[in-house]
Amino acid sequence: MIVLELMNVTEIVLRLAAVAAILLITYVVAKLFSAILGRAMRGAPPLIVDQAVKTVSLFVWAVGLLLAVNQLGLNLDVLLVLLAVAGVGLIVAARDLLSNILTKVFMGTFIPVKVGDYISVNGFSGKVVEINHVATVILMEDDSIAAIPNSRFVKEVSVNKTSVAPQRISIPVSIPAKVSPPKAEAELLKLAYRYKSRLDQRFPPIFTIKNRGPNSVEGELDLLVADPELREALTAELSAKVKELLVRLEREVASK
Amino acid sequence: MRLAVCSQTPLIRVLSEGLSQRDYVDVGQLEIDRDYVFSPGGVTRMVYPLLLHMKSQNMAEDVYWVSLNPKAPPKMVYNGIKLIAVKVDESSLKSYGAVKEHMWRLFHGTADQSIPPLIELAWRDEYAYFNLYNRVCAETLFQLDKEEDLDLFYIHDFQQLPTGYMLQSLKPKIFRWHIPFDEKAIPPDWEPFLTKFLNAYDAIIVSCRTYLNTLVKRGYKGRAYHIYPYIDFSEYKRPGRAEVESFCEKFRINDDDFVVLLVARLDPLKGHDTAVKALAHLVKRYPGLKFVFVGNGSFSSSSKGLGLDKAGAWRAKVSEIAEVLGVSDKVVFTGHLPQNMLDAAYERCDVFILPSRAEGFGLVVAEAWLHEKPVIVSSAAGISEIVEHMKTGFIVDPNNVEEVAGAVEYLLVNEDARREMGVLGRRAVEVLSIERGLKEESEVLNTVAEGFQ
Repeated sequence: MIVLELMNVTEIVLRLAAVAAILLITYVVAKLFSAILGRAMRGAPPLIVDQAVKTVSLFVWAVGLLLAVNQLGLNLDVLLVLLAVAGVGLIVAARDLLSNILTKVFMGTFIPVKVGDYISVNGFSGKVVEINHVATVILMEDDSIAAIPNSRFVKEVSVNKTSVAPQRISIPVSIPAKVSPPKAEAELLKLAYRYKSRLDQRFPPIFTIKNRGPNSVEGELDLLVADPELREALTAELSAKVKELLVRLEREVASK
Repeated sequence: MRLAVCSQTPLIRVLSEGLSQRDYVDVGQLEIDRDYVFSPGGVTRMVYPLLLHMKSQNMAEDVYWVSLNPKAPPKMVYNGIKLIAVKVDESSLKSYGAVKEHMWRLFHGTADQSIPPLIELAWRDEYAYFNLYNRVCAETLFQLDKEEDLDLFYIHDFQQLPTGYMLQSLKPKIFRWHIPFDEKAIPPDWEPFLTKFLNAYDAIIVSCRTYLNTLVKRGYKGRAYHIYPYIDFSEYKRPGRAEVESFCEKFRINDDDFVVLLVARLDPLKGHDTAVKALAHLVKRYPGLKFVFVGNGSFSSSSKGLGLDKAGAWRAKVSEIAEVLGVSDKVVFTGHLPQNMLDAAYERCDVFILPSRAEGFGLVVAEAWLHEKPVIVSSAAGISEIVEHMKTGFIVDPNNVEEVAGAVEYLLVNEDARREMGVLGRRAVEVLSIERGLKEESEVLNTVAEGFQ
């Protein structure tokens, strides 16, 4: 109040105008970020997208409000501390959810579990019918379902009873929008054919499209390694080759 | 119902080069034989009437035909059916065509040492382009569904099998397998590879009961149906005397010739060589014998289609065999015939023969029955399932030339048997009527579209 008394009317008007401008910009930025995030997560479940958009929007508004308050010449220290405490509280509260989402990234590649497999984990056994961002859903023998939090797969021993599971390699592939997916797929298969001697020849490689985004088409190259001991080494080598191939294809398109 | 058919064979083959530059063409505005031709072959002859029937009965409001058509505009409309062209570059198409031909021979059980087994084929670079063709089809269907919100996908023929697996949609999918699905040609070790694709379909339709058994035996878990292929009887007119005479004049067939007719595309599988060898067995005793071969190449095997001129090579080979056996003056190659001339050929012949080494079904036998002709049918043809040996026709081993010659001779010397067999054949053909086929097939399509309970 003392600060305000010292200001002349022009300064007050200017500061209020700056606050209004900041709030307007905050509104636009929040909308923009929400739209971008919504598009980027088009393939994700709507509930997750909704939560992510709300969190980002909240963050943008928090920053905007801080800047606005700062314009009014108020002390920000207490507000910043409160926000930091709230942020830490949020992370602590959502840590289980976050670890589940994070573990989903490794499912299939480093944790050999896929939809259709027969697995046993955390005392539950059955057929995997769904792997979502939070849990892996299995259909048990008595027709009941069990939702195993994904994070359990990094904390506990899971047993995959599917006959080909020890041999299976799934390489995530992100085909840039500029590259034709059918052509990229043909090149990916030809690349995989070169490793024929290391692979189980009863099962030729196969590529599956999983998601389509504005910037890329997400897919998976599935193969079966002949010797399970080579699984990790072959995954690493093929993943690197796939990346190189996609970069080359993108360059070829750009140069045309 | 909004239905999308996907088949390699286009409904319409565009002839006019300039049309590919246009975005959209109404085929009704074009001139047949100058700008386009109706694609011959089993798929178009069965599926086109089915679609028209479904439209006329209000069972399908919108129908799309997605097919390989490199020279066509991206979109056309023909008789209310929207035609969507699939385009693949020429070099990819060549590899695709080579793999398809190998597969075709594998599934027919006639592959020689030069052709690797199916699983080995799927490790070759050419297979990546076979895969590419199917991916382009799947992407085209996916895009079409996005734009038109389809209810059902109906995918045709073995070369399109991966399309359903690749098509990222949970909408119902039906697959029609047109060629043989014979246990003897499909070993159990192909099962993991095949079932992955087969089980992507909600239902599969095959042409014969025996193929249905193999399908289940080889691990297909969905709904499986067998529906005999069918033809529209009204399309086959008994030709007048003048048309028959014109046919005979054109191909130098005399009144006293005993004509044995074979209608099939020129392909080693069709057994033209067996027919020529059987002819050589008989010609000394029956100099009036004449074998007439009607047909050319298919969309794949002709130089005007995918450019694999298998037909030309096979004609040369059969001519060479006839030359060596001294019967070349008794063999007539007519090439492709228009419907009126084909009817005249059926009318003029004394016996119809189909000595195929493998045959998905063999509707030409039904055509011969419509003309009340006695038939000699290979035991490897699907239609042999409904031929009653020595009643409606002869069933012969296509690898046994003596047996084939014996059947021809029996019919040659027994005029009454020929006449009686023709009459009984005309009755037997009723099971292959378009009315029955359309009823059965549209029932399956409806059941699948509505969902199994």
